[in-house]
Amino acid sequence: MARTEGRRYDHDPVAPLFRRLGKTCRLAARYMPWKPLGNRGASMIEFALVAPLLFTLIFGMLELGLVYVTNVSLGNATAQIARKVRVGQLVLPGNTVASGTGNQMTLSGFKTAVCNAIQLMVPATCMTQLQVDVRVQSSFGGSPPPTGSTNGNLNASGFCFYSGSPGNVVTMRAYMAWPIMTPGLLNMLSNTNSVTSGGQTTSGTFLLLTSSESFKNEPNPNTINTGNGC
Amino acid sequence: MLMPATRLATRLRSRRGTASVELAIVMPVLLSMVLGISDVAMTTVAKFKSSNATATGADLATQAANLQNADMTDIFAGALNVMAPLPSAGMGVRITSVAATGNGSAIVHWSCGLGSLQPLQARAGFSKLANGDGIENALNMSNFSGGGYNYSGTDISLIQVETTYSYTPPAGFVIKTAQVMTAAYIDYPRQAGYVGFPWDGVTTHPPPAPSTTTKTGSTTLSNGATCNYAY
Repeated sequence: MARTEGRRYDHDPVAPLFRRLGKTCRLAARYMPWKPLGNRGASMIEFALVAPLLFTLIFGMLELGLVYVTNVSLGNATAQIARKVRVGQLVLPGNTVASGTGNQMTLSGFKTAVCNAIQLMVPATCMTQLQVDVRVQSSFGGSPPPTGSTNGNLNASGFCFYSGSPGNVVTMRAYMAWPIMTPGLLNMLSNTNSVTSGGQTTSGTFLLLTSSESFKNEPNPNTINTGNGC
Repeated sequence: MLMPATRLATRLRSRRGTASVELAIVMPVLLSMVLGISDVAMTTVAKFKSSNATATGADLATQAANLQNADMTDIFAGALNVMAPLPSAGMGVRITSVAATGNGSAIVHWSCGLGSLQPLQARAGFSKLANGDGIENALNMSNFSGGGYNYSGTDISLIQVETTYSYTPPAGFVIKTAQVMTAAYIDYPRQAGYVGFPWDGVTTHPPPAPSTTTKTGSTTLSNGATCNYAY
């Protein structure tokens, strides 16, 4: 220890003098403006300086991973539900179950099913940040469904939740606004800053994940009946 | 005790700033990991969506008994819709109906190609699926009787959809070149043994069965796809 302390001042011609003074006179040592306290704690301070950057990077990695797992989960969940709808296992509002085994599914039931499939989000926020548009179209190549997001606002007011009758072509889209938790780097990826649903707007820094399904209802007259539209 | 130290030697010996220097050394690695995760994940999502689009095309095509040109155009549109929000403009899609003729072989009944994927030649022999499997593993090729059952290999078919999609992650931090991803999916017709194409829409004019066809024709759809068919 003594050797390293001795070396420490080598580059500073005044330091040995101060040190000598400090050794000879305790009073001088006490009021010396420059005290040989050593390097201890320096690396801790340096780490404190670089830690925010380091942790941003690490949490950024973790969050990016979560976001894309969610994206794929969202795709899987919509694909599963789309299948149940088109074979008549699930029946959306506006249609009535005639004689088959189809179960009615409400919008909140649909969202719950998707949120359960995702499993990575708090259910309460998932229900707000997940928006669903299910609509019957004259053809897939016809007028496209409304884009979920305009000017960074995911707006559910123009969305439908209606799956039509047998033989109808249906487009189902699910939008998930993932709230970005890691500040800094990931904010650059954000493409959505508010979610409007049911007259309420939630602001935040979101990354919009979209999943889209196209299907044609199976010709199964027992479980899907003609409804009134969207 | 006072060493003849040059400034450089002093700098080298000094321990101040080691954490910053270490971070500076690992920073490129960490940063490329973060940005790389973003790129790889986006590409994975694109791959996921292109597989889903392929399956959707097969699902839509096998649901019909007969298809008109407009129906076929719509099937392509339905498959491409699944790519949203990614652009689907450059996607190549080929939908092929392969039918067994009953004598142990299979022919291309009809084939439609959009974008970079050209349609297969109609009535050409078909022996291997896109994944390399022999067609005989997926389709009953011959007529035979046995064990009290009669198996018909005539005019039964499958529909194979192949896609190719070129994707460049928009951020492009680490993956800077276009990634080409291909997918293939087979499905069996659900309304009939084969899906007739092209159909004029009149119920009494169904397209001829694959085993009775002798000629080939070609038609262009309104989306620019080309279809070869046997009739």
